[in-house]
Amino acid sequence: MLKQVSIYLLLTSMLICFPGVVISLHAQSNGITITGNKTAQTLREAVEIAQPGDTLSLSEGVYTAENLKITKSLTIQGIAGAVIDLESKGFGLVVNAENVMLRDFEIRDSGYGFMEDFAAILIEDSKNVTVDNVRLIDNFFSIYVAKSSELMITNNYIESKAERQTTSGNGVHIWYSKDVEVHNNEIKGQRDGIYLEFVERSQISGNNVEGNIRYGLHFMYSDDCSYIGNRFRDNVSGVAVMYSKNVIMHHNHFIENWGANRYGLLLKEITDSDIKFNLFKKNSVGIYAEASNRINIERNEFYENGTGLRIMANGVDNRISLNNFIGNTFEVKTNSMQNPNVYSENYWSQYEGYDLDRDGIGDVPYRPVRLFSILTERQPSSLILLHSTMVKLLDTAERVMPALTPEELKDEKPRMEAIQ
Amino acid sequence: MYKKILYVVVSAVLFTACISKEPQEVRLHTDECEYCKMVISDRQFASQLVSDKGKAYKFDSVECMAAFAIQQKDMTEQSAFYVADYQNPDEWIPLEKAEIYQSEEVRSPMGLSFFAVKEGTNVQAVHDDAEQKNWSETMQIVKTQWDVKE
Repeated sequence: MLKQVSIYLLLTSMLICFPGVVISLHAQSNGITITGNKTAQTLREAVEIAQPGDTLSLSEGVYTAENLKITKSLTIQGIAGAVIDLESKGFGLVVNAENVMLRDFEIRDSGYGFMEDFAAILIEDSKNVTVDNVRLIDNFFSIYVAKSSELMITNNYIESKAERQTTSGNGVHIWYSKDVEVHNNEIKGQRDGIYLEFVERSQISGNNVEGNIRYGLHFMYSDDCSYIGNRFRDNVSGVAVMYSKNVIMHHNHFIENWGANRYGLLLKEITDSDIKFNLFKKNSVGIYAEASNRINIERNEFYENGTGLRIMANGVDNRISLNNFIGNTFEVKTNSMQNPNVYSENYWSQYEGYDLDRDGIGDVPYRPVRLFSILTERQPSSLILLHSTMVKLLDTAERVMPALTPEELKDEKPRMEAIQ
Repeated sequence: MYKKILYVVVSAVLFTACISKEPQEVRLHTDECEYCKMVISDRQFASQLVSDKGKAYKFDSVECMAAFAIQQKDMTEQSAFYVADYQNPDEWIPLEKAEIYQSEEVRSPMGLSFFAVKEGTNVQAVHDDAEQKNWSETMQIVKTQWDVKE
């Protein structure tokens, strides 16, 4: 009796499971439809038999694509549940063509290595390529662009585990390219979220870049680019802009980059650039600028940073105006007695002046560099005395009669109230 | 007996006076390059010099160390220079025992494509366009490419 029951159970369970097995096999073997009612077993075969201009539609299922070269104009269109598994081997899709579109699928697990920059999607010597709504999971480099132009990288979700690897790659890596647009992507756990080197005329907007082990966004030698409306949180540093000119930085959030050598925004040898309407909140240093000239820092919010603005005297003609500095331990730090920059009409929450004529502008100029910040610049460990009475006394004395702080570094028109 | 004590004392004095010029550990993603301010995150290209006072200056690339050496000539003359082994990045090679190459195929953090290997390595097997540069050639290239002032 017992034996009969168990055989019966076994049979029913097989019956229940079997259709499932058939479906998943079906998805794996018969998943790709090509324009004109052709079908293919594997992605490699589909790419081979497709004519230029065709669309390959992936159905649900798992595909392989190790080092799969795309050298003609194609669209690869996925669907929820269509996954390209690279099985930790080498590159994934290698695009070398014009007019290619990759969208709506997942691609995961590229190879790792320190001699080759393996990427899930490599776009090289190409033009007019779109990567849209693709999930890129646990890849070394996720999207790697080299010597290409007119690219759209939009609405992708990129997540990796850089901190668990001895070597790590960037989320979106762009090298020697122009006219690239990177919009509305989510990027986590890579080395640099977005990395640009020798890139021209490119726009980066609406991205959310978090928890990367180096910079959220990193510019090297990339002129005439802009990044607008992005959010950079908890990366080692928010954004590093280096050796570039004409960079527009508007409406971004730089949040919680806390620790030694960490900055919301790091500027190194930047000229003629515009920083407006950004929020710098809870960073060790909001903006650090070195050897940077003619930068316009206007209408930004500096909240609760260790240092709001640390600006080195090897840059000149920068303009800092109409910003709010609220609740920062140090508002401005510098390393010189000279002041080659202009500060005007900012709101400083540490300002203690008065406004007798009621025009909203304080009647006494404000010097935002504290004596104590000069001491900590020379002797970082003296920071331990920050809240001592003696230091407060020294600071006040110094404000009345500047001797050690740069006398010329002052805001002639400090605002009495924060700017809305 | 007194002689023994004397030996101990003398050697103790000698050892405390001795400053180590050994390479120091580079903490990835934490330490900053002394020249370019970038966080060091690629061991393959890292380099460092240790001054005669025992202070280590760390760099993210060979080219940054060269640029620093041009700028701080006096200070760096007595320093020990080290470069990471490109093929075995956990190892430091003293500069005088290293060979420096430049290759278009290599993307160093600062873009001048220098890397270092141990003497006698067959680099061409990995990067066939690699050209060997000695240290003064390296400094000269960095000086002109980046317009570094002494």
